[in-house]
Amino acid sequence: MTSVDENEMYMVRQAQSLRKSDPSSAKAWILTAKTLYPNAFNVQYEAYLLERDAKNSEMAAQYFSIIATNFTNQHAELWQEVNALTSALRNETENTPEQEFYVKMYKHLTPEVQHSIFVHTISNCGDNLQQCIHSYILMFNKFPKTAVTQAPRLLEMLAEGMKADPDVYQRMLVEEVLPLIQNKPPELNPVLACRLYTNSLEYYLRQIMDDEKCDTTEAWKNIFKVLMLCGQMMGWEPFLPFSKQVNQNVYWDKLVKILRSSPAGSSQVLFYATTLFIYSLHGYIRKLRIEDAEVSHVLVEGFIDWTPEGGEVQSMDWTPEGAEVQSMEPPKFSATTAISQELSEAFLHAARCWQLLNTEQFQRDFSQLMLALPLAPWISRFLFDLAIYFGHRDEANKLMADMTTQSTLVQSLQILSLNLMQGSMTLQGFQCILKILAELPATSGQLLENISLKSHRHMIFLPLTKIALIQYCTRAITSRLSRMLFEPNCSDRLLGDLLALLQLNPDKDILLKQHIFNLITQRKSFSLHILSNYIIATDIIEELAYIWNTQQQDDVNFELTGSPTGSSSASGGANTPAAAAAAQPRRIGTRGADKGARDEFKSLIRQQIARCNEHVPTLVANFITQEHLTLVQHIFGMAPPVETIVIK
Amino acid sequence: MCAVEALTRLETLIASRNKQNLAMQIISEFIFLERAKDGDVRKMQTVGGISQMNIYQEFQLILALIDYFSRPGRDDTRNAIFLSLFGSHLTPQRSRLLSRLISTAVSGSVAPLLSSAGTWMQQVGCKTQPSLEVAQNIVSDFISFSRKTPEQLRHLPLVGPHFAANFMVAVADLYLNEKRGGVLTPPPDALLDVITEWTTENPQLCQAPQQPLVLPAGAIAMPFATPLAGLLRWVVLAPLVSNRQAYSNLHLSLLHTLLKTVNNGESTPLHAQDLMQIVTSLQKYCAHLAETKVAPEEDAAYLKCMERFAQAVQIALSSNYITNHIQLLCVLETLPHHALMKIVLAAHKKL
Repeated sequence: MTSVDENEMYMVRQAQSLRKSDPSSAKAWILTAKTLYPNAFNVQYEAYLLERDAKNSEMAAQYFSIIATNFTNQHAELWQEVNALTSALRNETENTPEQEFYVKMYKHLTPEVQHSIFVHTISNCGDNLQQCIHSYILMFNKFPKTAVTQAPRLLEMLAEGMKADPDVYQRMLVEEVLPLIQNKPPELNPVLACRLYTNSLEYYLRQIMDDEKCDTTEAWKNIFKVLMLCGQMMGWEPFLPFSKQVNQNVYWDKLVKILRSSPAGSSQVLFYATTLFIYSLHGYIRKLRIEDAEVSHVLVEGFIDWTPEGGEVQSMDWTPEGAEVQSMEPPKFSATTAISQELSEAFLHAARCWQLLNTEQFQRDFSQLMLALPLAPWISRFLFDLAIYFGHRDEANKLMADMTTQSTLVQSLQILSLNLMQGSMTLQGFQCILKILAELPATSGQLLENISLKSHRHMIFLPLTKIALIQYCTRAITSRLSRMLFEPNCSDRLLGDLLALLQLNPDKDILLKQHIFNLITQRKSFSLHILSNYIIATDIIEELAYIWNTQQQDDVNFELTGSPTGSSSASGGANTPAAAAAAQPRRIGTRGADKGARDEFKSLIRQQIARCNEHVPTLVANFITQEHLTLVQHIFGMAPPVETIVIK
Repeated sequence: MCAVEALTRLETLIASRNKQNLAMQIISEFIFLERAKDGDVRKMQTVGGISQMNIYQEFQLILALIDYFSRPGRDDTRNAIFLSLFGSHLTPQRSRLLSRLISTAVSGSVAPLLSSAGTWMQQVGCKTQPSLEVAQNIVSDFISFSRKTPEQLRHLPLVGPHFAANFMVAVADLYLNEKRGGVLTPPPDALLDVITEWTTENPQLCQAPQQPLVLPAGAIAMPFATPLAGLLRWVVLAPLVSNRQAYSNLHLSLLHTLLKTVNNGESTPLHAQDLMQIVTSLQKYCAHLAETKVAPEEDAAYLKCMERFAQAVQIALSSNYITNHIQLLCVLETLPHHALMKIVLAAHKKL
């Protein structure tokens, strides 16, 4: 140490010793030292500290400028201060008093010094990527002009950082950097620009998926903004800005227009279409789930009215070959609930984009993009729905395995729907019905319109409500059973069970009921032992009473209740309540009708009418559950050990 | 009332040099209402007449003068009249009147009058008896008899910077000056505070007298003295009598002044002689220490004095602010050892 250094240190020490007790004297020491050793860092730094500790921002700025200009790259103390300064600048709104001082001091620095602080900070960051990025961001904030030339470097760093920690750097990119370069996007190499857009998209999608309180409209507005920005950087034809009100057709039309004027596989179409696809997909998924409607919805196969005369134009009893033919023409969506329309639109938009993106020109790039984005839960659901929409049953079955997050209720329903698509009711399908009925949701809901249509295949967005589910299951059974009416020698029990099922929707299936009553009337002998337990619908009871009365005149054995006769009775009935009720057989027959029997019949009718306020859907559901063995026998002509069927 | 008219007449008289005597006569007779014992006008100017003014008349005259100087007019005329009214040799009555007039001007912030008074002070010399009396009187009026320093005094550098600077020169001479009674009398605290405030907030104040004076034709401008020399003596010698923090502040403020007024050849430098007085006082103190067998190097007061002295010398030298500095350095070397002083001396001997 030279004597000059010693003297210099002596004076600094003197100043330090007086810093607290007599700041003026301390400053006098430093002032003197500065005239003696103008190039000594320690002296200048002490001068700065004195002003800093006195909260004298203007003077501190003056000294800071001297150090920052003359002693860069040398002193740890200086960088400590620079870091304190930059971190204070970073969050100006929530600063400690100490940090506020730095902010004030910064304002007193000349722009040159301010700028050089950032430049030096950046060049001194070394391996500290995050700090470096922060410094860039700060510099762009304070010196917007620098963004034009320096932004590409910063964006490269962000892309670099995302490899290690996507969350942090995506947030920085989206929340901090993009707003800075928004007004004057820099020129960027296309690969990087695309990557940055993908990263931003990923960031917002995570936000949408993970944060329930996320304002999705805002998020989409931002996504479109970033898309525009990246498009600008790559010289793309501008797309439309986001607006919640804009119909998705408008976006689609614009996309088609761009598509026509672009070379095959062009990245602008790829990114616009992908964005549009995800937007529609999000709309679809959101509407399926509870977010937008009161209840969740599940896309299922609709029913087709069946008449023996005309048959079906498109039968549900497709042969596999027939299925392929029919799949050429996509099904319609039935307007079952208020939200059906929106759901189907969102679905079709997503499907349209999906198809475009899976054409050969985009397929490779698109599948790469999909891998990068956290869309798996949405995509698997969408693809499954898409498969059943197009009637690709095998594919749907495969996709079923990917949907791990679903409830068993939804799963059962989807399997049922798949089975129905296949055509005839299967054991698996029937098992699903029982499962669904076993875990009905609490939400009551209401009966749906249009779940069965004439003539063409259609899809239904089934709300997960109690009544809608019962209706769907019931319909699945009746549409099967009703065909058996036209087979010769259908059993009494089949007619009775159908009547019980048809109670659910008294205004519908008039023709079918009429047909059943005709069959009953034609029979010389008829037994309806489920009457007292399950039939309470007034129209049916009235009709039965009428038949009973008219049949009395003829000499037929018309038995409305009583012991099971023939093979039509349930064989395993001993386990069910219905069977228990039938354990005490009562015969109200027309043969040898006496007054007693007539009174008994009347009281039975009265008793059933009195029950007309019971909840019919629950009754029907109970009927299916309790009488499932009989129903299985109707459908499959045997009584298989249902309990042992395991649904996968 | 005749004074008002007289003042107007004086304006024209003073413009012509050969009517000086008449002007003086008018001043004596109609303004100060003086009567010579023997009626000799010429004698009156030197010896002074005996005024017959009563307190009420004095009061009226002050008002008339304030009023006159407040009117718009040329600076040189005003300065000429002021100098004619109050020369360098004043009768006790005129001196008393002058003090009152200036105190009144300070309280009333009468800028033109204070400007003339500043010129007057410089012309008669800030350290001459009349100036010192005026300064002493301001201290009495505004510091000693006032519980709180009046705003008017605190703002004096803004109203009359020239006057304030000259006032500082004078008042600096009044305190901590061994030439006055052989003892170091510290200034009143309030005065010290005011001076510190002035110099801190108006770093150029100590150079205020540097502005050229506006004088009547033919008059020779007197050189001005900077208050720095006297104030430096205050802060350097203060540790011998007081521990007040205010001296540190004033010291720092003076250092800033020294640092900022780098000598460009125009500003008044510090003369080595001005600082010699400090050396003398310190030597005397060391002699006193020697009597009580205390080494100066172990005496806190001495060390503090030297600390400030060395700092001031260093900064003044670095600003090229001291004339004849070789002589000063030689004298400083004779003082008992002080680390910083040694560094400073070493630094400048090399040059």
